[in-house]
Amino acid sequence: MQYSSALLETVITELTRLPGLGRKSAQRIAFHLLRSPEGDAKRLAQSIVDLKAKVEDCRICGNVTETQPCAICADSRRDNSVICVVEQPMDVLAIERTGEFRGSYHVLKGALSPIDGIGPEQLKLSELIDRVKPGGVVEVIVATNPTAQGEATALYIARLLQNVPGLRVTRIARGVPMGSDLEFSDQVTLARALSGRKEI
Amino acid sequence: MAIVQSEALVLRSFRLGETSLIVSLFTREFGLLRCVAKGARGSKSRFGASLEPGVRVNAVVYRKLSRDLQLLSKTDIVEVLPALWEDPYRFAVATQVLEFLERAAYGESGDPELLDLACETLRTMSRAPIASLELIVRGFEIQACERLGYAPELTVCLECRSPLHQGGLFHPIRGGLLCGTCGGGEGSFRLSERARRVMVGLSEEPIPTLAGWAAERYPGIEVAKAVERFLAAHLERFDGLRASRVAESLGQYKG
Ligand SMILES: [Zn+2]
Ligand SMILES: [Zn+2]
Repeated sequence: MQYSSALLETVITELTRLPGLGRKSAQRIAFHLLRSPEGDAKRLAQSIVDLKAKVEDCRICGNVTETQPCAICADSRRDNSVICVVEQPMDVLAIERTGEFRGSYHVLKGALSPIDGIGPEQLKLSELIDRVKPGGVVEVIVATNPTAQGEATALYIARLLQNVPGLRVTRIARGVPMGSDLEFSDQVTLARALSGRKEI
Repeated sequence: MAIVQSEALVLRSFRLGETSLIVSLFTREFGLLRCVAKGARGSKSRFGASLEPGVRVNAVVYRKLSRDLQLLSKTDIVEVLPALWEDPYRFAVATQVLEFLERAAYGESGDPELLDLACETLRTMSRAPIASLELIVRGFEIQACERLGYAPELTVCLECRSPLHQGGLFHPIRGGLLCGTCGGGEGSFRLSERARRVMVGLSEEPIPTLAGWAAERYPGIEVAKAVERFLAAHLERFDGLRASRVAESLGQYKG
């Protein structure tokens, strides 16, 4: 359906390009913006402009940042000898929320995904090697997602770094999620939980 | 709307919204189905590992013919081969099977034999020596083309029907080999007798036996060229499988 206002139509078209937004939701948001106070809409527009202008990748870890390097890389209290490798900046936020990790990060910007044509060259892997090679890093923790792509990526990294002297490459544990019932776990999840068991 | 149940091979998935997935399934009864799996990425998802690429499942789907996207209600794992994910190169080669089905399979009635061929190929790939993976995927591609109705002619000349014993001229568009007397014409290229015999073998042997072939004597480059050009000529908008390019770049880390 076309609207009498071409400007309204433009906003709807732009919104439908956002992930997870269908035409109906886009229409609802566009009408909401049209009716909301001018200040609200301006703030939203300005924040998007600022985001694009000021936020970039940290040149060390690849995380999103407004400063170079990012606050985590610049923090002298953090342990730079341990690097946690994740697929996306969102994963950094998730791990930071635990408050359990005091090392640094490396964001790959994806995982190996042959069906999408994503191979090692498309990931921030040479940057990882550059960080590890000079020495001083004692552990790389691979925290890619527990999916086929994440597993393949983890094994690729392990192989890539296997000859770096004094470096340990570890993988985060995989298993049964907290709060769930064993009987509803599938065989892959349970098998991995068993093989990754620990003494208590 | 009908609730249908079918065995299926998971080809791939895309993220949808915060926790859901769109999943491509190659089903036994209904061919390719694209389904929404709600909440599949949440930590307590009832789908678990069942939607990873290459997993064979029993799927329950709410199916409405007027829709492009169906709703996936439930999946149970029938067969899972984690070994396929445990080596990046093996993973990329196995993905070629899945990508091939996604690009080449058509129709809404399903092709049980093609599904069985794909599952058997993946099973073979999960235990085959790394060196034999490439010829296994070529065997799959040739045999799958046969299932889809356009197998390459490799034993007699397309023109004069005389049997071929000294290789021939491969013509991807015409779909096979021509003898030296008839000539291949534009777009054709020479295929050695060794490569011709290998391709005949790849098209006839059961996939599991390919794992035992002497991979070091396999004329890989010649066969790859013939199969890839053949696929490009017979599949719409085909410029090679993405997974095969990734496999190539991972090749240096084989085994
Ligand atoms: Zn940083
Ligand atoms: Zn002839």
